[in-house]
Amino acid sequence: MVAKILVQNIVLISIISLMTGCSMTNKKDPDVIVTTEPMLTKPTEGSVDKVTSADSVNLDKIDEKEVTLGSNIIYFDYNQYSVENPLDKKIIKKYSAYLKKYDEATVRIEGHADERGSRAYNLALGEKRSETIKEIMLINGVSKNSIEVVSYGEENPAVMGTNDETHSLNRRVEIVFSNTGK
Amino acid sequence: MNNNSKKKFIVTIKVIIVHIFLILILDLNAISNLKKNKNSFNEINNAQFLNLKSISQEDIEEYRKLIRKKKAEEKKKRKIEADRKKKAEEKKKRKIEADRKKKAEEKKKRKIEADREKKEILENLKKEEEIDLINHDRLELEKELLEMEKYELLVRQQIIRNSQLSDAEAKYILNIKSRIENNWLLPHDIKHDKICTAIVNQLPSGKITNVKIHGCTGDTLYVDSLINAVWKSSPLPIAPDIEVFQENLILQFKGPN
Amino acid sequence: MNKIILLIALQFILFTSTYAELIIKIDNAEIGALPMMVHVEGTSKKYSSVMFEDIVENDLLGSGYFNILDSSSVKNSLSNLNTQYALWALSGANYFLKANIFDESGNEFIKFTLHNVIKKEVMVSYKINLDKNNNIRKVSHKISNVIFESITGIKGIFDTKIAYISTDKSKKRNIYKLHVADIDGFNSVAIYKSSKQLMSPTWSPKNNKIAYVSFENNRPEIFIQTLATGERVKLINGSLSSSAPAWSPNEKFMAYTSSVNGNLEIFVHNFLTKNNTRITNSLGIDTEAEWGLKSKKIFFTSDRNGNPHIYSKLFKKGKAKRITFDGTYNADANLSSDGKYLSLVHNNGKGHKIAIYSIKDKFLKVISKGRLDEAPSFAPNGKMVLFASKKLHKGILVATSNDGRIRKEIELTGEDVREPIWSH
Repeated sequence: MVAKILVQNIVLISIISLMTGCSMTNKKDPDVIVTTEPMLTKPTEGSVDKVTSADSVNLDKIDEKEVTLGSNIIYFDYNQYSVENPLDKKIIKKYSAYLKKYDEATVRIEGHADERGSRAYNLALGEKRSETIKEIMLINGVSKNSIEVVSYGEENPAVMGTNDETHSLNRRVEIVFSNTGK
Repeated sequence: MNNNSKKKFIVTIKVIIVHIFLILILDLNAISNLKKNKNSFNEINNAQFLNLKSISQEDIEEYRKLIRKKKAEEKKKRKIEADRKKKAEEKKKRKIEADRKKKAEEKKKRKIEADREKKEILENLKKEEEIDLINHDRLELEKELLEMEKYELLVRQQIIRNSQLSDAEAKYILNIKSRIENNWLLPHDIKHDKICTAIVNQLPSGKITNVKIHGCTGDTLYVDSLINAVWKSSPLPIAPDIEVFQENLILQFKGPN
Repeated sequence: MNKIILLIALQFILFTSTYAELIIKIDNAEIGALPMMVHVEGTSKKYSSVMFEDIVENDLLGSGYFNILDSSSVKNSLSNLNTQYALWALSGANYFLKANIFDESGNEFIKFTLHNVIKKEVMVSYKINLDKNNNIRKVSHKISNVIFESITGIKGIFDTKIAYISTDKSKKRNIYKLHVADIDGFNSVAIYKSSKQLMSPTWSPKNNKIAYVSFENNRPEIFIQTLATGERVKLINGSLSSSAPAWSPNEKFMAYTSSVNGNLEIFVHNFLTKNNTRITNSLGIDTEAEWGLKSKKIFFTSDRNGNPHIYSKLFKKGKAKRITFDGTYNADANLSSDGKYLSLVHNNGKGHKIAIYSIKDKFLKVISKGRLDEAPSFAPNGKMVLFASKKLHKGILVATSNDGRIRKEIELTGEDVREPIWSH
């Protein structure tokens, strides 16, 4: 058994040394070690692989064209549509930067509200929330034509349930690409 | 008309003519008289004047003195006469005044006298009356006192009876009130009057014979609820004392706020 | 002299103890429903007396004015009328409705008589030809109306309609439907179906059309559908969003909400000129317009002061006036037909409930008990309110008396329902 392996090695080394030609003359050349390809490939663009909001677990959206800008959801207080949290502003900035860079790209800002109270008022809340995001984007220099605003009111909750926690998860805006511009 | 005025005019003219005629006649007379007097005067004056020519300056002085004296005397006379007249008048005045005063005093006196007399008469009357009263029959007075005592007793008894009755009545009222309130059912959300009056007639057995509503402007449902409350309560509770029973009851319904 | 005084005093004392009348103050009533009994007999092959009886009893009970007593144990065909009344009175009824179905010269009739048990008299008596009016539910509701009006003097609403939206999200594709039904939930007909969201139905003043919001073009747009023909017309041409439609009582205008420069404002569409006039101008949300009786004033929801509250404004000019001040949330106002009350969604920290606001007295009263109540609308007689609530995560419809005492869930089998609206 041992003899067999030894013989194979000798043959291999001979062939390689023949192939490498003048390397044969450098008897003191070190062995060339072949390494394999790594299993995981790093994504091409800069990505953030962490949970952004303290009270939610978000999956980073990765669409077919492999565009990820991290979280695309901004949350709101009850009956409110203002953006105060600097982390939220950062999200908007990221999207604004992308939209400015790729001028074919368009987003749809989808506004939502929790289920409590009047349905028509909740439709208005969702719309106001989307409009707020749009306005910040416009201030950031994004073109009007790149943004579409839509409200679903309380009709498409992210989470079913009737306690404060689920309600807070439903008061949101989602930024969705209709065209990634690539 | 013309004829009339013409006639008047003619008459007037005639009158005037007559008047002028008369005047002329009289004047002529007067003038001639005057002339005559003047002539005679002139004659006298002339005569005197003639006399004067032969009078001396002393005579003239004396004559002047005489005239002055005469004038003074006359003046004096006139003054005395005036004084006398004045005195007489003053005297007359004083007399009149005195008379008047006297008359006034007499009048006053008479009045005082009259008043005094009147007062006297009244006092006399009063005295008579008092005497009358005092002289009233003592028995009568005693009789009256007795009657007063009887009345007072009755009053005391009635007061006691009243309090008994008022207790009984209060109880009666309360019984009727609670019976009717237990039967008074009001629907929600109903327009009602502040006070709505019902007049109820009942028999001594408590059985209600008639219900009449007075001056209510609330919803039909409200008025019906009062009528229902009353009829449902028939027969009403029996009165605890027959004297307290009333055949006519006035119920004042006060709606909820 | 003294004698005379004493005599007078005595007379006075004696006299005052014997009045001609007694005056009694009655000031304590029990607020409650009037006890009523209903008895229908004479079932025929075609018409079930039990059905008539059940429908009338449910109508009267649900109105909040009547307490239905069981009539089955009471004899009600005694020959002596006095004894009959006495028996009914003993059983506790104030009113007795007696009806029977019978045959007369080849036609089937129902005859009904309403008795006032306390006054011992007949109030009304009618008969209806069932072969000419063979819809049992319709006839029963008509009888309920007559009884209700005879006793209360208030217009009956038992034959009126409601509209509402149902959703079915059990399948891969959502199904939204707009329904029209009887007030008790029966005879429900779906007049429009969509895979996209439907919202905010509202009746035209003559009840011949319904306007509602549809997302069929991927945005909220108002459509007007004629009930008799099914014809649908979009209110605003073009691709603008519009929501929360409100018909003016004189049928000349439609108020609605649209977005301008990122703010939600109320507009009025003139049906004749096709012009759209902007009514509100504030940063934030102005929506949910509701017309005043004379088509001159508009009530609406606005958050211009931070929280949503009801405001009012003259349509043609003037400033907005704030109406509600209680609580932190007041929205979705609906005006009663006499113009005196607004029903609305109210929150003062204990969840979202239905409340009634008296415009003249400026007084707000909560009338529902849930925490997720919404979409209130008055019955045409103002005595009941219809609204949506949640039961075990499913949407249900509830009718309540306007003091909140009586609450009745409307049976609509299986569906998840919302946004009910009572016809005029």
